[in-house]
Amino acid sequence: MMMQMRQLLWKDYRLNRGLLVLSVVGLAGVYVAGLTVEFSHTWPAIPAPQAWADGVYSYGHLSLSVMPFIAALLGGNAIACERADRSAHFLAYLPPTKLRIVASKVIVVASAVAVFCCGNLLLMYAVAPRLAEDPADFMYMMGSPAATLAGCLFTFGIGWLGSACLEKPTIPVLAALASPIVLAMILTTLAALLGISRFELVEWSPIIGLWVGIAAFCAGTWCYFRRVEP
Amino acid sequence: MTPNDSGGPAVELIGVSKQYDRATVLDNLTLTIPRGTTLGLIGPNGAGKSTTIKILMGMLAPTAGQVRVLGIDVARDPASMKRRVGYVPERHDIYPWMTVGEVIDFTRAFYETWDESFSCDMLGVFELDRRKKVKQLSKGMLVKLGLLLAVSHHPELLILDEPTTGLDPIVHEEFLDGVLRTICQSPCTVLFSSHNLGDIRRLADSVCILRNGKIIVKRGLDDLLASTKRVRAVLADGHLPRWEPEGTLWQQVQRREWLLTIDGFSADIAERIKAENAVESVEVFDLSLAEMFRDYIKGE
Repeated sequence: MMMQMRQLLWKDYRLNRGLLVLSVVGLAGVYVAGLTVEFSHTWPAIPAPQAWADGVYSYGHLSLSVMPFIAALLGGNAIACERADRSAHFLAYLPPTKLRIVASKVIVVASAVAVFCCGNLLLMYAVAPRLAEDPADFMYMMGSPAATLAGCLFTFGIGWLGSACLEKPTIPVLAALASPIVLAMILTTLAALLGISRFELVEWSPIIGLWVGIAAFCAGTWCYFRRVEP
Repeated sequence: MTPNDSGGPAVELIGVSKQYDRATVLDNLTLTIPRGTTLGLIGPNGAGKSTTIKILMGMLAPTAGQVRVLGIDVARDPASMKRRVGYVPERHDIYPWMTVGEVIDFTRAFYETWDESFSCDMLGVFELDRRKKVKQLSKGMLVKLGLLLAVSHHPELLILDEPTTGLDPIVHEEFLDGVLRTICQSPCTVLFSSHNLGDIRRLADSVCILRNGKIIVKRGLDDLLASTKRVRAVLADGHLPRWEPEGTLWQQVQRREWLLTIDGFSADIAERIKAENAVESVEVFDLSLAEMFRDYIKGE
């Protein structure tokens, strides 16, 4: 049983390897770009420790806010990518249960998102304070790490639902990438209609996103289990 | 082995129907394949062969009817069934980015009965390179890899869905040798769907002819070939056939020549044709499987 899971995990890692590499490059790119800007301000002198700390903390925050988009890519690609190249046909006549197939996909995506989040949080809350005390956050408007995590679940859930229902990953990925904007538009409209303040809206939107994401994930999993593959 | 699967047939389809929108692909199909036999499933394009096989593999849900493979209800426990079945599809959709070695390692993990030495033997016989990527394999190599994956766990039931379509004669021969090697190594039930009647003749104990989603004949191959004959009668001048024997599958009258294909032929039938019709002579010929198949299909 362990061998089966190991092989499924390996397969899902290999299926997502390109996206994972792209994600690492994207996340690290935020730091590189940000710190290059910091460097350019003081060039040819090296920035002061406080500037390094501020940079690592702030760009860590920015990098963290990219995470929902990575979750969207991984969620949208999760199931449909195997249908697109028809390898789902091959998997369908092998014995692993759908539960194991789904578990493997979720574990790979959740692990990747967790590793990326932890990397960012480590830099923000462990490395930056060691460079200088009380690093400033230029990106405070990007939302808290908890809101980012809720955003990840939201975009992943939307992508997963689309991926479970469709044959190709393009539409699920695009839908998941666009979903935060769509959700924001819906909530803003509702807030305007119901007379809710912007402050309250900002407070509630991660919770709504989280529950919509969980519901979408459950709906996608249900679709996948009900559907006779391929 | 589960208690309910010993001794029963390898495959049981009871009243299975499959409809897509309004089109009926399988129409109340009932088919039993006893264990240890090889059944050739033949039929024209669109007869329902691949649909039957996909339903057996749990890759399509029937609209109605019951499907049991090795005593297992396919709808309820497809995973248990797949562990004991080997399947070679017409089209191979193995992960293109994997190497041959990776595919073998990946597949092996799902079968407790995987025979590593048999797998290595087959790898050598088929001259497959473990380091080569699946996307770099030719169609022939891919088919051989598909067979290796399907048989290395010594399945109790081997399902082959038109596997030799488009193969060159050498690979074709290697493939059939591989199937025969599997059957010899560990006797199993084989369901072989093919348009190549030579393959069916070589491998099958019995044949099932499907047409428009219905079985038109299912018999032992030798019995079918022995009892189905072509009769050529020369009619007397100005006469037409008056009596048509029972079991006539197909017939044609051209000038004075009356050709018939008769199922369940006996010497008595030839005598009766002479007695009941104004014929000058009656000759009886054996039929090839291809001719017989054609007459069954044309006669329906």
